[in-house]
This record gives sequence, C-alpha cells and structure tokens, in this order.
Amino acid sequence: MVSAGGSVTRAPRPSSLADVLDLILDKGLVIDAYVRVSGLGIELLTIDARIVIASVDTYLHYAEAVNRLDLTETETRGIQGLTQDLMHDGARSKVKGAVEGGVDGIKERLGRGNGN
Amino acid sequence: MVPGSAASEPGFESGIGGSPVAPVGRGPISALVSPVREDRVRPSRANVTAHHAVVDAAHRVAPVLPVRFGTVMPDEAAVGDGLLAPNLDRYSEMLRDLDGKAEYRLKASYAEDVVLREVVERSPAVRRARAESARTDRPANRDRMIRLGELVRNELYRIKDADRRAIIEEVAERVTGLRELAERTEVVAVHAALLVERGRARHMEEAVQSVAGRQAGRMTIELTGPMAPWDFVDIDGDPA
Repeated sequence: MVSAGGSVTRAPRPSSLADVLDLILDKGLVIDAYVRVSGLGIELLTIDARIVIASVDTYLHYAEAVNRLDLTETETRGIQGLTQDLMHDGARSKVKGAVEGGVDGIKERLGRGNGN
Repeated sequence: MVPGSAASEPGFESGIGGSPVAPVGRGPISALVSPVREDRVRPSRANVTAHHAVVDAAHRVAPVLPVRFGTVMPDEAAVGDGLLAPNLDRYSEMLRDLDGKAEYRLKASYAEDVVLREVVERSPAVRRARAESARTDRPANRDRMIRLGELVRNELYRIKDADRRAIIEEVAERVTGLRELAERTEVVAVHAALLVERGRARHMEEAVQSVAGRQAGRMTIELTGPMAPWDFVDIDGDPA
C-alpha cells in the first residue's frame, strides 16, 4: 500500500473491526458511573494492540532491517533495484505480521465475548 | 444524544443485542437507547459494531453527541429525568457547537524501508553499531543487535517528531479542532482527529493532499470521515 503518486487513501467511515474499535473505544461522552463493560475491561483491549510491538523484538526487527538496507547499498549496487524490492518486501511483511498479531489478539477476545 | 427533531428519523439500525433503538426525549434533546438484559455490555464484535452503527446513522441526519460504549442506565426514567432533564442547556449548547461539523481521522504511516534508510544516513551512531553487530556471530551478537535496534528506534523517533510537528501545523490551520491520538504502531508518524466544518472540508482535504504529495513514496496518508465527533465530546458528563 505505497501511495507512489502521493494520493490520499479516503474512506467515509472505518471499515474493519479494528478501525471501529480504534474510533469508539474510550471515546464519546462519559456519563459518570454508568459506563459498564463486562469482562477484561476495554482499556486492556486497546493497550494490547499498543504494546505488541514495543519490546526487544522491535529492536531486533529494526537491527535486522537496517543491516539489510546497508547490504543493498554497498554490496549489491549492480542489481540494486531488484534486491531492494526483495528486501523491502521482507521487512514490510514482518511488520505487518506484528501489527496483525495485535489486532488478532483483540479479535480473539471479541470472539470469546461473543461466545459467552 | 441528538436533537429531538432528529430522533424520529427512520434508518436507525438495531442496537445492543439486536434490540430496537428507541428515543427517550426531554425537551429539545433525545437519547437513542436500546434495552439490555444485563447491566454490563460485552465488548463483542456485534455490540461494538451496533453502537458505532447507531451513532453513525444519527450523524448522517443530525448533530450527535456520541456516548461512550457500554453506558447502561437503570431505566428510561433515569435517562430522561436523571440524565437529560438536568443537562438540557449543556447538551443543547454542545449540539449547537457541533452542528455542521464532523470528525475526520488522519493517519500518516511511513514506508518503513524508506524511513530506515534515512535513519542510517542521518545517524553515525547507527552506522557504527551496525558495523559492530556485523563482526560477531550469533547468538553472542544478540545484545549488539538489540543495542543497534534501540539506536535505530531513537533516531526514528527524532525523525518522526519533526515530521509530526510539521504535518500537524499545516493541517491545524484548516480545521476547527485537532487532537492527536495514541499511535498503534511505531511507523505511524501522525494519528489525529480533526473537527471540520462541513463547508470547509475541501479546504482541509487540500492541505492533506498537499502533505501526501510531498510525502509521496515516503508515507501513506489515510483520511477517514466525515464521522460523528467521537473525539470532541469528552467534557465532564456528570449528570449531577
């Protein structure tokens, strides 16, 4: 999803459940003492998604990613374009996996909530 | 909560647990409520989606004050007499303020490979740590890799901070309200809620488009809306 032409990705409203959660959880008018959500608590649901990447794994991910970048610049200049494409695809799919791990965590909990 | 005149508009989808949505009105204000069996609401997919859908439908026909998900009151009298009646002036004023305005969400995310290349170019410390990490074999190398990654992240945050300030400043001139939101991932440079007057939406979109043009290939820009003002109603809602 690279907007090479500099275009803006437009949507009238959130499309995925994760986006809806992002929009409405912890948001809206609070009427004191009347917000009652069962289970683990809504803060947990949102925090889960935020902490998933903030860990040693993040550092290792960045370290590996910059190591690969340097290789593409110094050692494989001749076939740079092709190598870059391959390397970048690898880096991107890793981050995507980490992010989706967070979203899956939420979905899992939601699924449990539904089943009860 | 919506103006009373909007409460009879058709098209409100079913509420929590599939129950019908019915307005409870006092004076110029109506609350859109649906009955629930228990006094706690599960944050299930169906319930979260239903809550959003009702507010979204209301927003399309009238100004609306979104109420936080999971707000449960004992009965309709509590809603009408306990919540609405003592707060008519305040809620009316909020609805007037929000009339003709909508929230947009703006998110700018880096193309990770592009911004990491900038990190390496800008930071001698990162280049040194990279060279050191390449000298040792794994697994003894793990600590050096972690150190390298930490340096990368710190430099990334410096780049991010500068980008964030510049983009926020540019967009803020075109909107009525702006709130920065928590980021869910580290490659997000800007995540913000914008409050925009309907007649000025194009003006705001031009600014966002200009950011996207300058950041082409470096960032992906997402703009969602117009939506109900979820991020612009969080004043103290104590009914007392």
